[in-house]
Amino acid sequence: MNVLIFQPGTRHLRYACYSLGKAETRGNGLSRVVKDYRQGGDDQQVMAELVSEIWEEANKGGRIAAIAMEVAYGGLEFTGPAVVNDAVLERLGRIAGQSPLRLPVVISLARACRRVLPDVPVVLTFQTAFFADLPVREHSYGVAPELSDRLRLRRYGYYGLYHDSACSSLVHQHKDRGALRSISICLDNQTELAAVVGRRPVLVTSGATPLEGLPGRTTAGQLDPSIVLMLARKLKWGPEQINRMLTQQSGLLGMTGRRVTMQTLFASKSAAGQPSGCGELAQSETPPAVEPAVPGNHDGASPGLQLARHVMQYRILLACGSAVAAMGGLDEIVFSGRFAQAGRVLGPWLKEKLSAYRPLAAANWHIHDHSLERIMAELTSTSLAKPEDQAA
Amino acid sequence: MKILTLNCGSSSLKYRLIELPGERELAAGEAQRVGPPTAEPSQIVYRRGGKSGELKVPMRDHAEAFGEIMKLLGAPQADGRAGSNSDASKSPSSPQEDMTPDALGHRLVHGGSLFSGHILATPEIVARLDKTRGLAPLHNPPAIDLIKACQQRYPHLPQAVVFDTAYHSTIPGYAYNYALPRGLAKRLGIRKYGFHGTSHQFVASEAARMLGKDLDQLNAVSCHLGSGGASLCAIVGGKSMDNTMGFSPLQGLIMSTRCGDLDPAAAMRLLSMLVGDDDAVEALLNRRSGVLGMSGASADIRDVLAKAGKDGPNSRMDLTRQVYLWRIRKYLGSYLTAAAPAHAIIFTDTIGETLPEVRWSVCSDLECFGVKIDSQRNNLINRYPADVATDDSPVRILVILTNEELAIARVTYGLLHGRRGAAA
Repeated sequence: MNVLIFQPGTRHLRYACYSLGKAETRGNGLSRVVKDYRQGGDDQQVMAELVSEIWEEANKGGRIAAIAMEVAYGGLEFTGPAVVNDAVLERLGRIAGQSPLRLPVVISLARACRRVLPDVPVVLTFQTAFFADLPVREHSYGVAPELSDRLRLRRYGYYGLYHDSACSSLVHQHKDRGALRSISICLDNQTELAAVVGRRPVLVTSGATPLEGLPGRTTAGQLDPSIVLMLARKLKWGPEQINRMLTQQSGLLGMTGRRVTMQTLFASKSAAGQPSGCGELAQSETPPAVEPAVPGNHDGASPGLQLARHVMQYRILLACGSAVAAMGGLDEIVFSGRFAQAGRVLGPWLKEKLSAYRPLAAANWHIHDHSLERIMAELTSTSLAKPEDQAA
Repeated sequence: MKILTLNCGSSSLKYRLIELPGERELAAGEAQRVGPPTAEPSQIVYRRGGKSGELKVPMRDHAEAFGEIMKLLGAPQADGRAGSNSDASKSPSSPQEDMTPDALGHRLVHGGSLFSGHILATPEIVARLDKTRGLAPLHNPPAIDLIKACQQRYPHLPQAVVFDTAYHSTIPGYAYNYALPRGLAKRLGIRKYGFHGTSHQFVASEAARMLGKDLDQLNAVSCHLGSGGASLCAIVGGKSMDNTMGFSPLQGLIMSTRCGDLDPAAAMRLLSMLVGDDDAVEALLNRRSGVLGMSGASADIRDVLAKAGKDGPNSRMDLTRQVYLWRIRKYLGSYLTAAAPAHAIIFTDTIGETLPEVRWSVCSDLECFGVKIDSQRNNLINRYPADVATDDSPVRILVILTNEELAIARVTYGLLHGRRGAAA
């Protein structure tokens, strides 16, 4: 079965074809980005023409049976994939205000697909769906409920498709072990960690938005809220300027001054060869006066790169500790996401650190190297095979 | 040596006179309603020689409050007159013991990056302290003004400055750095500082003593859970490696009126909603959130726990309880990992010392970390310090009364002792 994958962003549209049943091969087949795809003209017309062009191109490689669309946010309305129909579009419309940058684009693209390709099923796959049922003690913040409701403050995860696929795979592999306690670490543009018991998440590092949690390529991650207020007060920055700095200029970029990914951060020869743990790092640093003393620069990496590596390692380690406490134990660790291979460095390091407590020493780490396209294609196939599940 | 510790609040001044090295308390008290006149008169609530009392006396600022405290102690006044206070001297069992302090120990909440250790106040140091005023605008200025006033009135009295942040100066770069543009972070001094350091350091020392370890061999997680502020500290080799509070005391746990960790996008949304009024947003997140905001009834978790039991599951009180406890548990897991292998979890301050339900909730089902809490011991603490872990628990669970004033006095004594030693 060939599935056309759409990943609509706020500015660019990524699309690819995935053939189910063939061995997973990244980079083969159609995969393109259309930049600034919503510029100019009537939005519906522009979208319809774009869908037509892409459809024609995609079918050259084999008949496309369905379209899968990645949706970053589905709120509590969508707890699983949904086949687009009038009712689904109406439900999306009702929650569009909760994700004003993303959902209107999805609605527009979905309508265009129905208009141009009325006989082709379109399946929406939601990144937040896996986390719609997070326990209340995990998804709530320490503010008044009225304020929480007004700001729609509720914690979600934003890489649920990866976590669900990775944990389902683990559960399937370890069918005989009861409710498996897994730490699922998605290494992508943002790094996100979830504690999952069986297939049910009980903890996630992301927050009401993807900004909170572990640092990303350009996102700051967890931050003292008073820093936002200090920037407004001292630098007279408005929310837009603060937001730009925290979402586009921070994270790995901010720490290193370079565009690096988790893959490049942990793929260097020295990183692989140095299973440094927090204890070793702590001993090598003297109390800082203003700038930190940087541990030995063995591989010639810049101080910024070293710092970013150590910060990420440490934050992921802390998140693992939280996850273990949340689950009362640990059975497996699994890495997924575009940069899952960085788990080959992080996995052994985490295992070594956690093994300081004997009950945790048995936990193994895995790489779940399924692309998002494959995950979405498989979900689409499953959804279409079960008509009763078509409106999640 | 008699050391008078001084702890400035925005409108209060707590003091304790302690004799070292024996660590005997000679007198203690609190000057209340210091500042402009209020509906109730200013007063000093004190205890001395086993007796307690109240002295109503106007105190326009902390310097005057300090003067009145010195009078109450019977210390010589700044103008050389013998000190006495009529109310205290009227007490039938007024002790004759000399209460004149030999040194002062001041608590200062925030030393920033300028002060990584506790220090004796020289004129040069006091001038540098002025640069820290803005770091804790409610706490630092009155404390610094008091230090200056003390220096003026009692120039012969050595003064130590003990910073809440100093214990956390050993937090390594990978823990104190935020993932922000480095130039901006450095320029604005944006980093994690950590707080409650004096308390964490004190209980770490006590824990090491209880366990028969040298302090530099101790790995622990210290849980300072107060009825107001709260923080956890990861301790490795006796040193602070991390603290749940951050750039400010707002970060981390859910506290009496503070929200703790919050998506930065939420803070930005609030700024937008309140048209850039950062003071209003700060007031909301610092004074109307946390246990108070969530429960809508009380800022004290003890009230919430009591009511949650009556209101039942999924009530507003119960949800407040769940979220409050869950946040502590998650951080405990984080820091048990950061301090691995930990020898102890330490509970201290009002909530940590007195609420078995809190200790049970955060420590139960953590055998994976070698933590086993004993239900009976936890529920019935007859004396402090206590160990409420089971006999076979690899990680001990200690309940230790914090004593920041004693900690300040010890630091002061240590600084002076070392200095005198150096001079000899």
